[in-house]
Amino acid sequence: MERLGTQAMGTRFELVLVDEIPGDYLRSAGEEALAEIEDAHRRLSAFMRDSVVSHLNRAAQLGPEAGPIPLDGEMWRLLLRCDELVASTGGAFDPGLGLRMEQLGLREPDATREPYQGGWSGAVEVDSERPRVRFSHPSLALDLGGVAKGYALDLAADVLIDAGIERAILHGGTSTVLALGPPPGSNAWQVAIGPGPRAPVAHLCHAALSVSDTSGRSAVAPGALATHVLDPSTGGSACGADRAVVTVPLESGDALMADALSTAALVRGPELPTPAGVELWAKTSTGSIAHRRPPGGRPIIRKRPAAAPSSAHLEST
Amino acid sequence: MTSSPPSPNRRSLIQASAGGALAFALNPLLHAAQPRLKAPVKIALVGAGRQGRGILAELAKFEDVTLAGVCDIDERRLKSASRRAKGAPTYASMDALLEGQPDLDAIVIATPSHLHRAPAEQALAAGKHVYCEAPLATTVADAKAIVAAARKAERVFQTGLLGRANPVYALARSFVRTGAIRDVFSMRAQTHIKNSWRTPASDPARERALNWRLDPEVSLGLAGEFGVHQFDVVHWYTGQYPSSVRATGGVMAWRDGREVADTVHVQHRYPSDAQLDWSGTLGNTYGETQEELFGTMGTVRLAWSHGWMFKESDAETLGWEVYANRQQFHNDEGITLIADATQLAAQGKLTDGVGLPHPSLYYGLETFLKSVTEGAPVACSAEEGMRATVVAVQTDQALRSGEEIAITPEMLEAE
Repeated sequence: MERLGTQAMGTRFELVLVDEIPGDYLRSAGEEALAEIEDAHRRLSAFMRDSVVSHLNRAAQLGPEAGPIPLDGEMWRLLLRCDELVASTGGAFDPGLGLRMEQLGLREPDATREPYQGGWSGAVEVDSERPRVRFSHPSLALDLGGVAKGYALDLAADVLIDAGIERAILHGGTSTVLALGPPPGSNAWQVAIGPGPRAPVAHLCHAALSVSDTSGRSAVAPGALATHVLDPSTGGSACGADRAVVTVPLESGDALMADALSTAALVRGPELPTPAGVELWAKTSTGSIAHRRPPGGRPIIRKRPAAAPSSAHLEST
Repeated sequence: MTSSPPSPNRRSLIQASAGGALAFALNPLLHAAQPRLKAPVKIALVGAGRQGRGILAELAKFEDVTLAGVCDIDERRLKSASRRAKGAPTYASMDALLEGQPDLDAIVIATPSHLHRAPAEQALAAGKHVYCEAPLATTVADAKAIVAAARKAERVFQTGLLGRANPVYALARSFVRTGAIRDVFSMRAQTHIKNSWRTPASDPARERALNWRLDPEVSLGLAGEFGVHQFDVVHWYTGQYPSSVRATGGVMAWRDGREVADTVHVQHRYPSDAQLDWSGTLGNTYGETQEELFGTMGTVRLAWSHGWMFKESDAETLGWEVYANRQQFHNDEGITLIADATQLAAQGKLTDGVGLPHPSLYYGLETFLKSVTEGAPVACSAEEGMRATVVAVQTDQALRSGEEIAITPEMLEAE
């Protein structure tokens, strides 16, 4: 077994590799996977001046006169995925709200720019034929925080799979998790959703999981407590759910999708439309729990039996 | 210090004029979001490893650059890199690349260090401009052969020693050259990373090739892979090369049977008696990658995306320093060196300028593209690359032999 970690995206990422093969090989494959996560961090961080996202945001400030901005192939594909997810979640997921984060005091303000109330759909046109993007409002700021961890874990998992690693669990800050094959002797990796002995447990095997919670970053804005998840239709805090957990099977989705959907579920609540195979668990502000899952078979997210000892491999918070 | 802060207009004027005085060496379009070239360039990448992928990301920022091919002998590397490569065709050999893309203007070489010579000679012979990663080669003979080929070809040849293209490093160098810290009498630099340098390989044949950094028969180790970049910063700042080198080290962090030292301490002694102490390790990340130059009136500290100047308490304070952006490091206060200070100060956004807007690699490639399209001076020539490489080769030799090695002028001459 090899356990490796790195700091990225403001949190700790960890990989646990349990294939029964020599440690040197596991370690070197794990390091390559971590290098992908670190690279994704350097490219996507809106807080690093030399990231690709910061470069795109500076270009966006030039407004539509700047014309289309060239992208490398991977950034292009990421923006196309964001486009699809904005459309399929009806705008509940929206990575085009960076400026609003500034207005609510959740990011450093830039007083030279006019406010922008729209989101991704109003201002971002990703070219479907060529790797480029056009921004049509100078106040748009991309903030890929809602999918960055999932995106990074997907890249890391690809490296592991390519290296022949079959049994592993990866997570970013425990809130986004990607499970490959289970540990020897088990059917699944067990991930507790939240602290405490009564928290439900997700049984993950070749699946991704993402937990989103409104109790993350927050700031007090005039008249309201603003959380870091914003509802694109109102510009204010998300209030569809307090906590949302999404699992996605890797055969039909990935960790990026899980991340985007759990963020969107905070906005839209348990009614959020989701693709086949996705399981959604949400706790609303009244404390009620909704659990939607694909028909047939056991759910991935299960209540822990009252007398069962705490045996989760990972606690997701 | 005045008793009340000056009005914002006066403050920005002071900053602007100070920045202006230092801007002479700098690119006025540093802050431009959309880099444009004076002519289109068709370029290909040879060597699709991690560095190659970084190169692809930076080249993609240039609308006028067409990526016409990615070449690597390893199929999996090629597949991984081509995701970033905007649909460019892939090739398994230089021959195939040159045949498939006869209209190429330039080639970027990012193969393993001991495998730069052949593609460089082939690209130059085919009439292409070449950007070659550092170290130029892993032997003095190979490095000098590349210089000979570059001279003969009459094309742009740039060595990827990125300090020489870095705007913060250019700014700091102008301070040092104009005496702001007085004489540089001592230098220190380090590269600390935590990584085993091992690459997983599914079969023994690939294993050795992919793990070339750990192969003592071809690798220059930490001095060659990391040190060369930092040694060259000192060469550039001082205008000198060391007269002798010493090195010690061993396997301290990764005791897995390897031979290449994972922790190395190096001393370069200069003709002025100034000395550079360099350390490299694969076992620890503290301090990451940085260089420090110590003078009797101050210190310059460089960390690739950032730079600072620390003044001694008995050094004269220039007017603009009073309003400069500062950062505290325990008991030392550094003035942040901001490469596009003039423009940012005029916009009232000086603090936004802390840290370069692009990774170092971008500036190396940008200056290469400008050399190709408009004849701009080459940031680091084949000769300069060769000399830094010779210093790295002798440093590794000092490590292996345990002896102090003299660096003679003949060693640094192209043949």
